[in-house]
Amino acid sequence: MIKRIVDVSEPSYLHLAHKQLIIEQKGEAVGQIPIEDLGVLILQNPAIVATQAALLACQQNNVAVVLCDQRHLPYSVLLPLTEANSLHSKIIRQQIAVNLPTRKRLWQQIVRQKIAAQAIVLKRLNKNTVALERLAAQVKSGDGDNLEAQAAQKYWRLLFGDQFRRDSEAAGINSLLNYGYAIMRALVARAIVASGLHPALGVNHSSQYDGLCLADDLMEPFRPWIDYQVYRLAEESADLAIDKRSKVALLNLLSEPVIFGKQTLPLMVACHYLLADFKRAYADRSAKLEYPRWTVLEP
Amino acid sequence: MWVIVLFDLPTETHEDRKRYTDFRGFLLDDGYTMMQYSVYMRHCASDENAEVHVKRVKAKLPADGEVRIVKITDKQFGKIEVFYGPKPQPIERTPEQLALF
Repeated sequence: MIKRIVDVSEPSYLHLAHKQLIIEQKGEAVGQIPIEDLGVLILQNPAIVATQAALLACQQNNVAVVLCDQRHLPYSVLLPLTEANSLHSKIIRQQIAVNLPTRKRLWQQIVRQKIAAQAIVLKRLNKNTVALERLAAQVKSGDGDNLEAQAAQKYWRLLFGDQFRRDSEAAGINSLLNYGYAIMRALVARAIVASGLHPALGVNHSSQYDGLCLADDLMEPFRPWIDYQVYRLAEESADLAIDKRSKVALLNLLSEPVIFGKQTLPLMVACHYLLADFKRAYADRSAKLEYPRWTVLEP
Repeated sequence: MWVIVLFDLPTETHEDRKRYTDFRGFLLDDGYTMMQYSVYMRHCASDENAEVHVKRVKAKLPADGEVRIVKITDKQFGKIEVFYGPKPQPIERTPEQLALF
């Protein structure tokens, strides 16, 4: 089912009453949302106070609670450890046991789909796509030649021009990209946890400091969607900031219609199907993975 | 899709009142909000989801008294006319899938 996304950016008191999240501002209840209808809760104001009952209820209903830092960028995600899936420990053991060739072949497909998605974004914006389409076809098992990086280098230049540099600290376009990626990462992490997989055990990413390696792997082909949306926002106005306008544009992506197999469904729901496929690919080592396609890019 | 639950439950005896309070508490736990006394409403994202919540109400029906369950679309809900005295009031808005507070 499609779940609601709630973003709280004003000083608020969040508490629980009758399994509903009550949002109080200046002593007055401004919102009341049944926890089971929630999918993502984004908190971005230092003066937000939340009771532990409210946070726990969110965890019990697999709500991804996203905490933002002073720059309004999502900094961490709270995800449930137990009971998200009844076969959690069995699935984790399976996940640990997946061999290297399977992981390499899955990573090959993820990279291929990512580069293909980048090419689709460029095509949609009437830019040259030849180089990327060629690279997408050449990705080998495990992407040993690191075509992902080669593609990225060409892609950013084609998309935002020669002057553009990706930067996780900078303002403007970069800050919106970082915001979008972090939200997408939280959404994918939520679907991972719901499927019973552990988000820290990745296919390719394996940094010991990263708790969401698998989310970082699986979200790669979704990144170009954020890029496209940010490009569009930059076209509308050069004055870019994480404000209401850009947040609505980026958060709406999570419920955008996508084509998955023969169905059209919201991305948030498609993510759960994707994870079910991924889990199957892990279990039978077939390593076949198909990503949803965004209807806006491929009408 | 909106689900509206209307009920008239007896409140004569202590047990009656207990059943009444339990039923009302269940409605609130299931995400309903009070529209008027004895009238509760809940927004559901889809028809299937509305059916889930209707089923839950049916499973919790009190032993005595009358309960009515109405399902109406967002459009029909928006056409409800509300008055406070002779003064017209806006009807509650359908919750957005994305909400900013």
